[in-house]
Amino acid sequence: MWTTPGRILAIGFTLAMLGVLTAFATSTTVSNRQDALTTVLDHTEPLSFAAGQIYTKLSVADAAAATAFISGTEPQPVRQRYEQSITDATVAVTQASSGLTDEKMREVLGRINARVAVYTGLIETARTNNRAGNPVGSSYLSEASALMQDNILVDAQRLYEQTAAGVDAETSASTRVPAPVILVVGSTIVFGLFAHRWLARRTRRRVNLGLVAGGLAIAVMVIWVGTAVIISTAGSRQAKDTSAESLRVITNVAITAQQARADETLSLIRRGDEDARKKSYYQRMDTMAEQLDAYLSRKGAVDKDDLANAAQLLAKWRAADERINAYIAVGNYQAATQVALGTGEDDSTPAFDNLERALSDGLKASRTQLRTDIASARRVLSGTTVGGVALSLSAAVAVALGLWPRLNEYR
Amino acid sequence: MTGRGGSRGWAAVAVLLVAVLLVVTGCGSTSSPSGPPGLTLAPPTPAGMTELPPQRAPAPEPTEDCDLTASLRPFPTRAEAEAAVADIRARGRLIVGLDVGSNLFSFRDPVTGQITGFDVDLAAEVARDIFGNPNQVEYRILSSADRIAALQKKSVDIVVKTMTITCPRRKLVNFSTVYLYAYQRILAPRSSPIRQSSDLAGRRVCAARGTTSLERLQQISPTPIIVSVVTWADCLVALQQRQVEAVSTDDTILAGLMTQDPYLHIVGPSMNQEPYGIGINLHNTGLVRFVNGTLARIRADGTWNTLYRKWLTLLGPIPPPPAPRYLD
Repeated sequence: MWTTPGRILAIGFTLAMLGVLTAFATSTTVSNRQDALTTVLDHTEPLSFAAGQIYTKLSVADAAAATAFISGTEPQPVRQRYEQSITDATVAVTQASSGLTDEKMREVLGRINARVAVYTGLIETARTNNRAGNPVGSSYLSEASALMQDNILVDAQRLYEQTAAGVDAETSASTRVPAPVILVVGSTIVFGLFAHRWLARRTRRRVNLGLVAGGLAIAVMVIWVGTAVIISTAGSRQAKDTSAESLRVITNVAITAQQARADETLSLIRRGDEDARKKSYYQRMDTMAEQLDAYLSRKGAVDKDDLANAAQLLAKWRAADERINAYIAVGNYQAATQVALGTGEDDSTPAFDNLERALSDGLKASRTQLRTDIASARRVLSGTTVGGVALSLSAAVAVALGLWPRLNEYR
Repeated sequence: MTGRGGSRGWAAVAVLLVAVLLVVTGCGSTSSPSGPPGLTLAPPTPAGMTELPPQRAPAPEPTEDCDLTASLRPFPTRAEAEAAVADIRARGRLIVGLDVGSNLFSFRDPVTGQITGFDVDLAAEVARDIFGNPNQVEYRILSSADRIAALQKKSVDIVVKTMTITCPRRKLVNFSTVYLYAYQRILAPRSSPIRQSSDLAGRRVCAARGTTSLERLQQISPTPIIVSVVTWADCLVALQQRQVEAVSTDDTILAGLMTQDPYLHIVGPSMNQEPYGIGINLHNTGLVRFVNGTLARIRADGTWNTLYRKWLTLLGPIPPPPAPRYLD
């Protein structure tokens, strides 16, 4: 066995096997990554987005319902806003339900769905009573809002956080260093170099064309696939650390803004819980200011332009709210309501609307960025599977062709 | 499976295995039909509703340690009366403390957004006597707990807010003569068998937190299950949503709930009499006399009857205005 031709044969066989193994390892790793990123793009991210929509749109609906209530005869745009948010939220529930596989989360979604139906019923009861001139309408509105804030939104938040964590987990799986591939490719190269040196010494031919060609093929593959994987990994990391994080922060700020608006308008219904509402309003305003500060001071925040003047809008909104407080303190309810609902320069509504628009733009930009990052992380990998296999296998063939004449010399 | 050797035994075993597998998987899929999982949710309840643990309140003090309904006599002359409200007149408006959650007494009219009601009209009569104009009034919204503090801090001139005159309160603030007597009764659906307080035993009954009505319910024997809420309007919601079977408090407040739902009626004899008075700062005796003068006027000139007819006819035929009692 350990005659020279035997050794050449063994070396050739090992090198060929390593070539095949390299082809197998690179192709599975790369295609797994592509599959994972495809799953994120087609499944996990849309699911998380749907969950975020449920959370956001239901907050919008609750704030709109309260706003409509204190305006007496509901203004048409506010009514439309409520209806559109409920439509968006329920459509998002349908989308999310087709993507959820976790039994626990399906139950959470089931609860959300069931309670939204109850919620809309309560809102209509409040509306009808208000229209009929029955003061009990405000109690129904409070009940509806408590159901939304204490139950539905809590579930929606849980669903959103869980699905967002899913996007994170699947994206970070694509940022891991592909150790097995590196090991296989490394040993192929090392063994190839060793084989070439051994052969050169044994056969007194300095260069074996087949082995050199094989080595070149492996080198091209390493550079090509390696670069692609590195770029793809960077893309995935960017998606996870920057875009997904931005999306999450903006979603949270957007929801807090809606809840603060609900607090502001519900305090004008005056059930005796005004102090608690005010406190909650200021807490939410502080939370938003903090989150926005943190967001804008981040290096990689996706959409700073839209949110650059958000702090200013928050300050404006707070100033309007202080005017509301001042009117309430002297018992001028109508003037206070006018500030909350009015569209004048210093009223609450323009500040809130502009903030909402900025956040909604930021949300869109972050989501687009997230999907672009993931899609480009996947795109750079395209072709590398086939290319890697072709190059590895041709390396194996080249080695075989290079060794064949040497082997023949011993016949 | 095995092409070689022609071993029929192995082939048979394989066929048998496959058959068993098919049967097992077939059984598995039919024995557990995957329908939607059952889900039961608690019904929606008014914000802040809680069921109180069964607990009997101590019986009320048998002897009242004060002369509950006696107040100060109005000024005999117009000049003295005007001197007593000179500072209010200089300010240009009367500051009145009330709430907006008591239908028929002080509530926000959903249509106009204005605060109206029996108490609001009463305050307007006081303003009429001060300024000759019933509209020179500024409202401060007070919660029940705040009204005494507001009077003590003088952030309001008077509190007109279905405020029951009690001896402990008399030590902290002054009261006008009684302007209305209320009686604690029961509001129940017309279809309900509840007719009196003894029928409430073991049933769920609603009351607002921190009220004397709730304490009185705890004195019923055997005790009802008491469900407490934030405002009286929440009791109406709880009743309409079938979470309680009755509401018990002053008939004046019950009437305000009843107007919003034709399927309800007020039943039972009075469980307790509640004298309503206008609250004033303890040391502002001049204003007490002035307000008593206004109350004496509206009793005499028929305004009281007009107001009662405007807001409270639901409570039955118009009673005579409560007769004033004076200390001096």
